[in-house]
Amino acid sequence: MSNLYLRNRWFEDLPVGEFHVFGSHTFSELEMIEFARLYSKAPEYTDPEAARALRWGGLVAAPWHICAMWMRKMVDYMEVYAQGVNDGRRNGAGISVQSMIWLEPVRPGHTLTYTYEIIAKSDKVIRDKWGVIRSRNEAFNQNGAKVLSFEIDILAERGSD
Amino acid sequence: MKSHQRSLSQEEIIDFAQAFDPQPYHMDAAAGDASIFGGLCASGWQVAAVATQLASDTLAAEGYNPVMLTEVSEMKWRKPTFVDQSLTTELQLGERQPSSMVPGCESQGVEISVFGPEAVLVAEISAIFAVDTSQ
Repeated sequence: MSNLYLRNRWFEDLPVGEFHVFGSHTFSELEMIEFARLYSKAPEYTDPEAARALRWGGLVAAPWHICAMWMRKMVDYMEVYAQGVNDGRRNGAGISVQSMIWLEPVRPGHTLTYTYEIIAKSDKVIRDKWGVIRSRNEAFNQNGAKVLSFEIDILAERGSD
Repeated sequence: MKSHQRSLSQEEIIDFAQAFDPQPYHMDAAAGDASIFGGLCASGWQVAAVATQLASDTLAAEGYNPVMLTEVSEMKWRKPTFVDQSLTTELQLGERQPSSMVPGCESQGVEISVFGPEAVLVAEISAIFAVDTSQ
């Protein structure tokens, strides 16, 4: 029943204070290097040998890789709620980010768990159709240390009635 | 300070989306056309990564020794980035703080304006880089 309740929710149905643990991912050395070669070309992120002599004492994940994986886990999670809705989803694009900070290095083999909490709903209506939801998002490593925190505003479709 | 430019091919946009942001408007031209964006466009996270890399390259060329991105106090996605559009960044240096999460570094605030073709503002990023001041 809870799945049926959670699916297909409009902006109006999303409660402030709702908290989700929505995904986990274990970062491999290979995928860290592949991401960084395209998007963050520093030896800390691309070269395990050179990284040993650098400030983290080994390879670490590029900051945007940690965020990109947040996005992937969020999309996968939202799929659960989006079945049967016109174009496949009611949660729309992100429009802005606030207070993003990377707190701890993420090393090969580390497992991050991502959470979000809805912290505010704006009165703004965009293109007659979309409301704005603000959530606080965090990622924790396998030792419970927070490695990433940020807030994001995303569009959520308003109910038509 | 102005950066070099970089564009994202259709293949790069779709590859990134399939790995990290598998939403129809980032993977399929027809779905992009029908979406709020009006065309196949890059994930905002891909744009953010490209823009901060361009900014970091510029800081390095200007002798600021950027080590890593540590914070984004604010980021606004203004316009979609479509296939093969040239992205450039313009940087304004902000505050310098004597400490950083990265040992031995200081924090340098940088306001990054990301431009597409015809100087259209695509995104704005208020970033903080750890910069190595020992060199």
